Formats: sequence, C-alpha cells, structure tokens
Amino acid sequence: MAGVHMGAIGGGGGTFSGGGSTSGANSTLSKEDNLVLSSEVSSNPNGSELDLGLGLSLGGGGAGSTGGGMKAQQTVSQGQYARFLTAEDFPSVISQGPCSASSSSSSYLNRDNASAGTKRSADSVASGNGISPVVGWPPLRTSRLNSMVNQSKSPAAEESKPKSKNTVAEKTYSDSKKNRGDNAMEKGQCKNSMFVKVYMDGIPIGRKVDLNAHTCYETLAQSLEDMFNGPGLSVSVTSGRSSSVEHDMLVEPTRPSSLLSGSSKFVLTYEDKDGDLMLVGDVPWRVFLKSVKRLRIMKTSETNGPATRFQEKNGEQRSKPI
Amino acid sequence: MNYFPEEVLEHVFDFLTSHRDRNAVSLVCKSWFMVERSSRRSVFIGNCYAVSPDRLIARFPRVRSLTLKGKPHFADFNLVPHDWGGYVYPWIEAMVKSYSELEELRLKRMIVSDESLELLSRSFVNFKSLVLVSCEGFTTDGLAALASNCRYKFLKELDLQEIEVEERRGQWLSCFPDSFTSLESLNFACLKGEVNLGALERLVARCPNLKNLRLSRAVPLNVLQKILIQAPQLVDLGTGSYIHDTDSEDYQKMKSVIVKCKSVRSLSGFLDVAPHCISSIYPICSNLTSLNLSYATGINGTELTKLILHCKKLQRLWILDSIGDKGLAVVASTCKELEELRVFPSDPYLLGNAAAVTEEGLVAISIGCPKLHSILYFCQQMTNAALIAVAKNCPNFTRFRLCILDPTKPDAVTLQPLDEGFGAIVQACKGLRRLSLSGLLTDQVFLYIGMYAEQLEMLSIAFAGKSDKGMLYVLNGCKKLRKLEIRDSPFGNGALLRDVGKYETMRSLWMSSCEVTLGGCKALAKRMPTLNVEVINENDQMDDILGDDQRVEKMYLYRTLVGRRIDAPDFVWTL
Repeated sequence: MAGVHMGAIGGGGGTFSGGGSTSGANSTLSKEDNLVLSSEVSSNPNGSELDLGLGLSLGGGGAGSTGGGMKAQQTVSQGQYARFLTAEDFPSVISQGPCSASSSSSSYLNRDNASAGTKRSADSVASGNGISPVVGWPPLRTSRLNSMVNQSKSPAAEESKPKSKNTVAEKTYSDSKKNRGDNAMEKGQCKNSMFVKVYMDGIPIGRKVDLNAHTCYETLAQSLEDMFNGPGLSVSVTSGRSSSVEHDMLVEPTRPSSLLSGSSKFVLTYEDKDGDLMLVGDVPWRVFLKSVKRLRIMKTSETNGPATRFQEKNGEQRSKPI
Repeated sequence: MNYFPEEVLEHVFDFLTSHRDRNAVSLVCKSWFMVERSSRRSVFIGNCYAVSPDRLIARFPRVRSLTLKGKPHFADFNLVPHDWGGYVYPWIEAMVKSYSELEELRLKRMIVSDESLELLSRSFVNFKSLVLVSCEGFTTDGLAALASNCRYKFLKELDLQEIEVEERRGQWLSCFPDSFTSLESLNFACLKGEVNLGALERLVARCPNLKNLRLSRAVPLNVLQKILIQAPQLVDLGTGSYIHDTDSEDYQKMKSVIVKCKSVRSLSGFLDVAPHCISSIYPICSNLTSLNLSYATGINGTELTKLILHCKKLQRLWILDSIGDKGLAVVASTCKELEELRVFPSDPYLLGNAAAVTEEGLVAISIGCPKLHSILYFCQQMTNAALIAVAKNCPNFTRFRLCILDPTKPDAVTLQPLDEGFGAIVQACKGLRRLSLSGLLTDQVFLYIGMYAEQLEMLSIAFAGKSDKGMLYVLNGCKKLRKLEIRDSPFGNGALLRDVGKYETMRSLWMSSCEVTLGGCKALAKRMPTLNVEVINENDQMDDILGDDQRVEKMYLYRTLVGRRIDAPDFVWTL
C-alpha cells in the first residue's frame, strides 16, 4: 500500500482543526518505513535493562529528530528503552516530522519484563515483524484467537516461524488449540485437531494421533511407524493406496515409502462409524477422515484374506527394520 | 394519592419496557412502588454480586425473566481467573422456591454447572428461553439434562454463544423427546464436538416454528442441505462446515436449496469454508440484513468483496480484515443501510504481511455509510486526520471501539499521539455511550473525554495516559460513566482516591497493571463500605508478603448492597 496522504481522505485540508500534523508534505514516512522501523526495533528487545514501573526511561528523548532520517531513528532507538511521552516531546501542534515518538512503538514490545506484579507472557521474543504477545492483547476472545492464530499468514512468515507462532499462542492462552502442523493450509480450509486412538497389537497402552496433521496416508503411516517403533520392534505399515494417487498432499514422504513394502508383520486397519474393521487406504483420504473412529495396527497373523493377499503382492519390496 | 385502580397503573406500566424507566417509576410514591414491584416481570442485574438472590426475590416477587452478568468484561481476554466467581447455582436454587413462573434466563460471563442446568430444567414448568453468553462450567451432560426435561410445549430458545463446553460422549441433541416440537431458536455453533446428525435432522423436521438455527462445525454440508429443505422458514441461519467439492453437482444442489430460503435475514458461521464455496450463497444475499463472516477464515479478500456486492441491505456486518481497505471501500459503496460494523484481525500478532486494514478503510466507511453508529475496528494503524474525518462524517456513533494491534502506536503519519483524533470523536459524537481507546495516548485525550463525552457509559483504556490527571479528567467529567476498565496505564492512588463517592454512581471499576497500591485499595475500602474492593493476587499467597506500598496486579471494585461475597476464592481478597 502506498503511504498515506492526507489528500486521499475525504474532507480535504480544511477539516483538520488543530489536530496533529496533516500536511502531506510533512509525512516523510511511508508505511513500509514504518513497518521496517517496527521490525528493527522489535528484533532487539532489551527487556532486562528496563526500569521497573511504567515510566520506562528513554535515552535522549529528542534524539534523531532531524526530520528526514529514518535510519537515524533506528540507530538511536535500537537498544534504547522507551517511555511514556509527555507534552514536551511534542513541542508544537504541527508536526515536525518524525520524532522520538517513533520509538514509542518499542515501548510495548519491551515492556514484557517490566513492572513487578504485572503479569506478562513468558515469551518476550518477537518474531521478525510481529508484536510480542501480552496477556489479553489484542482484546479478542479465546475462541476467536483459536480460529485465527491457526490460519495462514503469508507464506514467508509461515515458513520461517511456524513453530514459534504456535508456541507463543499456546503459552499465552492456556486453552488454545494444539499445533496443527504446517500442512494444514490446504485450500484454505480451517481444521481442528482430530485425535484418534491408535492401538498396536501386543502393546496394551494406546497412543493418539492427530489425523488433521496429515493430508495423506503416507505421512500418517510414517508417523505411526515412528510412534510405535522402539527398540526391538520392527514395523512397517502397509497401506493400500500409493502416494501418486493423492493429488493434494503438501508434504512429501521423507523416506521411500515403506508403506508399500510388504513387510510382514503388521497391517494398518481402522474402525469406522459403523464399527466395522477396515483396511486403511482403500478410500480417498477425506472420505477416510469422515468415517474413521480409531486405528489399529494389527498383526497380520490375525488377519486373513485381503490383507495377506496384498502383502504377497508387494512382497518384493521389503523395508529394513528400523 | 392514587386516582387509578392498581390494574390501570399496572397496564400503563406495561408500556414501559426499559428497566430504567420502570426504576424511575417506582420512585414516585409508595403505591406506585408497590404496583410496579409486583408487576415487574423482567429484571436486569448487571453485576450478580451487587445484590443477592434473596433481595431480588423480596424486591420483585413475580419475575419471569432474569438477566445476570458475572465476571468483569476483561475476563473475555483471560485477565480474570476462571474461578473468580459468578456462580449461577445459588440464584437458580433461590428462584426455584419463589419464581414458579420463570420463563427466561440470560446469563453472561457466569459459571454454570451441570447441576444448575439440571435443576433449572426440572423446576420451572413454563421455562422458555435460556441464553448463555461467554459462560463456562458445564458439560454436554448438562445440556442433555436440559433437553430431556424440557417441557415439550414450552422450551423455545437455547442459545449458546462463545461457550466453552466440556464435551462428553453423550448425545444431548437426541435427548429432546419426540414429543418436543416447540423449538424456535437453537444456537450451538460454539460446540466443538460431535453432533448426532440424525437427531438434529429429526429435531428440525418436527419443530415447525424454528426460526433461528446456528450449527456447529461438526454439521457437514449435506446435512445442512437436508435441514434447509426441512426448514425453509429460517430467518437466522448459522452454517456449520461449508465445504463442498468443486464438482458442480454439490454446488448446484446447494444453490437450489438456498434459493428456497427466502426468509433468511441473518447469516453466520462458515467455520470451515473454502473460497470457491461462497458463491452458492449469492441467491439469498440481497435479503440479508446481518452477516457474520468473522469466523470464516477460509475466505479471502477477493471472495469477500465479491460477496458483499450482493448484500445491499446489510445493517450489520462482522468481517475479517482480510477484506482489506479496498474491500471496505466496496462495503462503503454497497451497504448504504449499514449500522454496525466489526472488523476482526486475521493476524492478531502481526506475524505475516497479510493485508490488514488501516485508517483508509475506516474513513471510506464513514463516508459511505451514513447510518453507521456502532463500530469495532481492529487495524494496523490509525491517524488523527482519519479520526477527525470520521468524526465529521459520522457524528452518530453510539459505540466506538478502536483497537490498533500494536497498542501504543502513534499516528502513522505524524507520529503524534492520537489524542486529537479521539478528541474529535467524543466532541462530534454527542450520543457516544461506549468507547475503547488504543494507540499512543497522553492525558490530553482524557481531558477531551471528560469535557465532551457526556453520555459515555463505558470506557476501556489500555496502555494509555501519562499521569493521574488522565483518570481524574474522566472521573470528574463523565457524569454517566458506569463501567471503567483500565489496564497497563500509569494511574495510581492519587486518581483512585480523589473522589471516592464517584464509584457509588458506577457499576464497577477495573484496574490492572496500573500504579495503584495495596495501601490505596485498603484506604478506599475503608472509606467506602458500600463498595467491594477486590484485589486479585494470583502470585502471593499470604497477606504479609504484599506490603501496602506494593502495586496490586488486579483490582476490581463494584458497588453492592450485600457486602462482601461469601464465595470468593483464596486469591481474591475483599478489603
């Protein structure tokens, strides 16, 4: 977006009665600069040096107000504290251009460790161009935050800091939803967690897996293998569907698909809504999601028919025990 | 001297719908007091700890509708511990004995247990309507009890808004008996668990008067289609999941079903949605007066804008800022009847570069929508010039809430505080009743508020002000102030204690992360025995650790007729 110019606002110059600066000529800041400034400042929070109390001290209140220099602002304000600005900082009604007020945006970001008795979130680290979260700000209900925080940001931001975004949210808000993994943005759909129980034959204690963290059988099977593979266990999970059939998976399997190999001992099954035991992989992933109730990794010795036949088909590709 | 028989007086009073009018009438003389009292059917209690159930029943013996509010407003933002209080059970227990005709209960920010719901459902034969907003403490078992016991002739409304319900395996929807056909309004959009879809369909099919239906995410599109076929008379619809595949059959089917819903005026939901799905809604857009897409994170700005073009009659719009300034310009040129706008942030922590809204969008709206009087606007930045322009364009604001995501951000162009902008707002908008501030603000803005905001009833302050003077300007100036909530602002004992009588004219004051000390709170409590001054201290366990000159983290004070409450948890000290 272009920088804001007063002329664009209805009413023209005449309406500005004694307010803050209005003249477009004075607005040397464009929005990009503003964002850049914020991000520069926010990447250097020096919380530990702040005074207690709300009167945080700013080194040199009027420093850098040479009117043009955004960069001057940055070098002054980086590493400095911020304080509540007084009338003295704004000597005249008409703006003189950027002044030390620019570093006031850092006052919020650096406040995290200030003031005994104030409760702040544990995380004071801001991501590249974000604001450091404080309890209860922005003022949104938890249900809204849950539905928003888990949604997509720009691809760049999402790639760079997916974990911190979710971690920050979790620490700040006690009942925020669990991380949903990077591949949850398929077609802009918003998904919640969908945890189902997973039991493996021979292991009395079950696990839970979030089906919505996956978009295809391959990644699910790999997760399950990781989950249940411990010393002495050699598992590879077979699935009926090859990876090429799933058109919309965002995450490629990171290993050659051991799913298709016929190893041997176990097969992945699920219990559907009607209570029937079904082989995982026959139906499209999304259909599977709608009907699955719980998963079961069965010993193939207990199955008969389709499962064993399938394994014979793929018998030549054996996976190595992990 | 009473010239009219009581029945006549009662009939006249029936025309007074506002609580304040009825309160005023009861002050005229003793006989009016008695008539009004016994004919009062509806009572509103803004702070459940200001009175007690017994006093309510003694004062108004034949109430049919009760509205109760519990926790302070900042509880919505996790600033109040969950078990601070606001339990509804004692109220229900007391009313069971005395209000046999109770029909309606509306609760906000209260703790509602399963036992409460069960007791409620068993006890009042005429019970019609339960509305719970931002409540917690119950599970779907409580809902099941309610459904099972409700009188088949009477229950009309079950409305759950922003509720956190613990969802157990029980299927509460199927607990409505087959003979139950009176439902008119059902809202369970906030529930996250599974829904018995068959029970839902059957319920809709047998309730011919159903007008409002808001579904949760667990209700898929095909079930929505079936429901709409059964209930084309719906006026208020909240969809659940709204995903259909791109193949045309689903799309055509949805369109043909929607077209028959000619009565729908209010649309919400779209909790799961993809951009391509939204166009099936177009056939009913021209009738909509209310549209809430604030949870529809799956729709992008372009699709939103295209949708808005069809909604010329909108009076209320809740939307995400992904619509952008350009989208808001489209709203401004399309929705000439717009009265209320809420723009929520899709990126509340500013982590990405998503197009958010700025002052440009707000100004465009103010130019294009002359009937606008209520706004909640989350934005990335604001300027004084924009606010001044908005004030000039829209002097009719009654509610003005601005939330700049970086809360101490100055004017984006001039880097000045936003005092002048908000000053213009309060000066121009003479009917302003509710105001929320944000951005870089000094004491000056409070001077303006004290001077001009004569009708102001509720003020929310965060990260603002410079000294006690700020708070004093407000306390001295705003004669109609009822609720003041302040966080992270440098107001201390000086401001708190200057005019202690003021707090008796208000419902409540909340101050957190300010400069107020324990000593100040104690002094206030001592001077004003009709106030409950509560200090919420989650860190320290023992009184002697916190010295008088230490700042209190959270203080909440409110006027009360019944003294300190008996259900306060350990971390709440009533001084």
